[in-house]
Amino acid sequence: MRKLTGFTALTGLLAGTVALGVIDTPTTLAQGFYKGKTVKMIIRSAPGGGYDFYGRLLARHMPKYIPGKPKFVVINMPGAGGIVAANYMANRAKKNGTEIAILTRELALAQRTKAVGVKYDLSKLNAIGSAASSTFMIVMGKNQPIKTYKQLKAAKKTIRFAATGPGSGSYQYPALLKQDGFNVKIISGFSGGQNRFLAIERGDVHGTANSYESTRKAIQELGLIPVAYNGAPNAALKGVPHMGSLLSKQGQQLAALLGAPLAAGRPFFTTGGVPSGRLKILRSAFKSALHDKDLLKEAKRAKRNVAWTAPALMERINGEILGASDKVIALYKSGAKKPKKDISKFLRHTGKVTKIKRGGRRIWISHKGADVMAKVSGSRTKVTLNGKKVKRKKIKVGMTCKFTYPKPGKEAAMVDCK
Amino acid sequence: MIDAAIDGLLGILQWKAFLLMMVGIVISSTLVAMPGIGSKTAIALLLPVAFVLNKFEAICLIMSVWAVSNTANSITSILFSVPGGGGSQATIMDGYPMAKKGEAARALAAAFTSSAIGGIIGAIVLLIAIPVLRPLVLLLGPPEFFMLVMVGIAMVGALSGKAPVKGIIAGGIGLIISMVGVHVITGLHRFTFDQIFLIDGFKLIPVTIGLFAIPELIYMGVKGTGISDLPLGDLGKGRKQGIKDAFTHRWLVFRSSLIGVWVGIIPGLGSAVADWFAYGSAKQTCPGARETFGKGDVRGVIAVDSATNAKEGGSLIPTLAFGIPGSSTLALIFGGLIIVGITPGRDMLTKDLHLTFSMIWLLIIGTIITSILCLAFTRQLAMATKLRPSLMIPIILAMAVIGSFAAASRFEDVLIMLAFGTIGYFMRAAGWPRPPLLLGLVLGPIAERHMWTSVQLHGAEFLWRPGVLVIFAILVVCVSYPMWQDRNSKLRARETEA
Repeated sequence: MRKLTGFTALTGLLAGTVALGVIDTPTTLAQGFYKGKTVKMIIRSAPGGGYDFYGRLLARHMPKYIPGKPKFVVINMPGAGGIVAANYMANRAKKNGTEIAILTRELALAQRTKAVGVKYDLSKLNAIGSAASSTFMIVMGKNQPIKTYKQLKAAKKTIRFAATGPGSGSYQYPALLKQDGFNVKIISGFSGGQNRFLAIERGDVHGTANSYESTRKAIQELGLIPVAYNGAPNAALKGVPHMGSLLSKQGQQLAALLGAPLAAGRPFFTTGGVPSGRLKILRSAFKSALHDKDLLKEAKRAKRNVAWTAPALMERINGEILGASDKVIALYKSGAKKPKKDISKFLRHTGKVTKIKRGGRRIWISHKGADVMAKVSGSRTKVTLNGKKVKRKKIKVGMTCKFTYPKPGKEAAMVDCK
Repeated sequence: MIDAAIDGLLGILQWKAFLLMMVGIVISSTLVAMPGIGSKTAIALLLPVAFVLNKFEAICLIMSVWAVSNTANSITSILFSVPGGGGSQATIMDGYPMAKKGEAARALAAAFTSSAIGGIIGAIVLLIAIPVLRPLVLLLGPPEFFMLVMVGIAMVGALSGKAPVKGIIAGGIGLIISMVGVHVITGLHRFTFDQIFLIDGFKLIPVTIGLFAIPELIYMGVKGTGISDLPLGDLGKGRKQGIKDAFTHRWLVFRSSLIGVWVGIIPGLGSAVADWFAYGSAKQTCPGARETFGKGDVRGVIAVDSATNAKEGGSLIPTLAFGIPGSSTLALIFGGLIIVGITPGRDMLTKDLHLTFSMIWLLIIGTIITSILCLAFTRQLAMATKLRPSLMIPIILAMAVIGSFAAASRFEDVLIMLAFGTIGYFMRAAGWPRPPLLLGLVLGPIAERHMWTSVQLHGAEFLWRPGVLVIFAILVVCVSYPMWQDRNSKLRARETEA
């Protein structure tokens, strides 16, 4: 009897363990977790704009696909181009699956290029999915000579592109073309796409680079011509060549780096350390919400595209960016900054200083029997005496100096004297 | 066109649309009047509701929040020296001294009335501009914008009162402060010291609250009396006087409204500039203003409030003609209106003209209703100035802290507000004018951007473009007219003495 009791107890224990094992998988445990909980949806920008739209859209439609139907609250956390929100998710957000964020698509690039303020490691955040993909393109005005990508590459006249500023796609794409030998000049300082379209309409510039979603209407209304694209292929851009098609190998690498984040244009993340069951629930709720009829209807009315990107693909893309070679990153960084003046084609004239005026602001040397003058700027001209950097007033008549300047009478980039 | 105008009016007068307009107005006048909570936040919250509405209803709900936000904004500026929003900073200059003199009801009534008239003028200008909208916007490129901003910078002189040198220095400090953050053109980090919260630079709201509200709090605490230690007098009479003031100075209202419209047309300038432009211009052109402005002159309130409301009509011009939002709030509004099938741009002037008219009608009807509503509560609002400091100081301090925080949800902004509060206190104590600092902060980046683009486009020759020369001539008149007036009055005074 005692044996039997022992056996029964053992069997009971085993059965209980098995039963618990069935019920207590991470997912089943997580099923009850969200009941009565509040999930925070952090948005990387201020109210208004694309990120805010997608963040709020998912906050409205995700709850019904999460067991327990948690309440979602939306928190806008703008700042530093999305870095503030990413830092918050990495360092301060609760690691229990109750905080989700729509972060900036350039997050991996910011981390790889060691942007100021980055205090997150993207590989430690959990991707949930992306809600939309994006396409970037080069568009030209209708009343200017360039109508195709080939013509743009062959252009003899400098083609002017309107841009917002370095760091933005409107700057980076023309900068990429310029690095690849296209005869392109970037005019920066325009705020927003619409102002750039207006500059094209006014005839101030020839073209600009912008996302397809934000340019669609201008193509119809102002007759802008898309000549090349990068990122996710778009059915509406049939016949428009990919940017890489006329670029050098290095240019293609850079275009791929710029295009990679576009495949996951509206990326959602949760923190690291979230139990696997809850992560699975969040990912599947996100996917289901993006296929929800009501959500699709709302997105259609707002003329926003919806395309689900799997978290695995997002992680692969981010991994590729984080693992990009230093050479390509250096190229990217040089495109993001305003390029220094190219002095390789400048003239170099050497001779004895014959005359100095206005405290060294104008210096004359005798070169090949004639006096040539160079303007000397206090901040832009590098003045050296015996290899040491000096102020321009240290240059005296009789010294031998070498001017590096575009032509006589213009401002010198360098004045080296002995 | 007349058909479209009638259709537009009938559209917003349907009972459901009209009711939604009233909802928008109430939300705007209560929530948006709180410092730091702008119409943008309210609109973002209301957008999902717009999904189920028809076009006119959506316009009524969403646009009414925006159209009337500058009316109720003045309440906290006048009563507590805490700006309700970007457009009501200059209201403090004369509104608050009026409240201190026991004339809160008059100041509020004048502000609300001139808001209504300004709003109507803005809408009428928009109406007149419809046929020439597109060429008008195309006429202005970066060089012309740059010169327009220069006209604004010339206002520093007017806003400095009797201390022009201090004013110029304060303006310069404002310019330096405006450089903090990421430089939009080169991407360089300027004066950020690797601090992440400095990357976005100093926000206008915390700086304004600090400069204007905190010094008043300190003075109130030291004096130990409420905002106004004078008797309030007959509040009903004050209100009547305020309404009358707006009509007596109708030319000022008209002039300031045109300034507002003009600022509205330029994308990127916004209410935060319209109020100072109008205030500076009024100070330069009103007789005797140099002596009385800043000490509680009702004309200072009238000029500002008519301009900020008229601005809304102006800012619709580039939005409707080209789909270029005149402000970030308009970008949000039209983002929402696209949901119900209204797309800004060419269609708004052709097949959707009736919708454009409904917006114009909304601007007119909305501002009138809001002003009447606000006027009805003027008495109760004015009583707040008699509260004792032990109640008043915590309330205003809480508003200041919430307002600074709410603008961008950053705790650091509260610290910035306190730091500028200290600076503002010492500036006030030493007789340094504070508005030029704000003007420098607002205009610095805009001027820099337009100049950069102009130089890249045209080199130094951009200064010789006809539009630039015309605006430069206006600038010269703006600067020299008050000087000439001053000289004349001095001469006359000498003659009478002799």
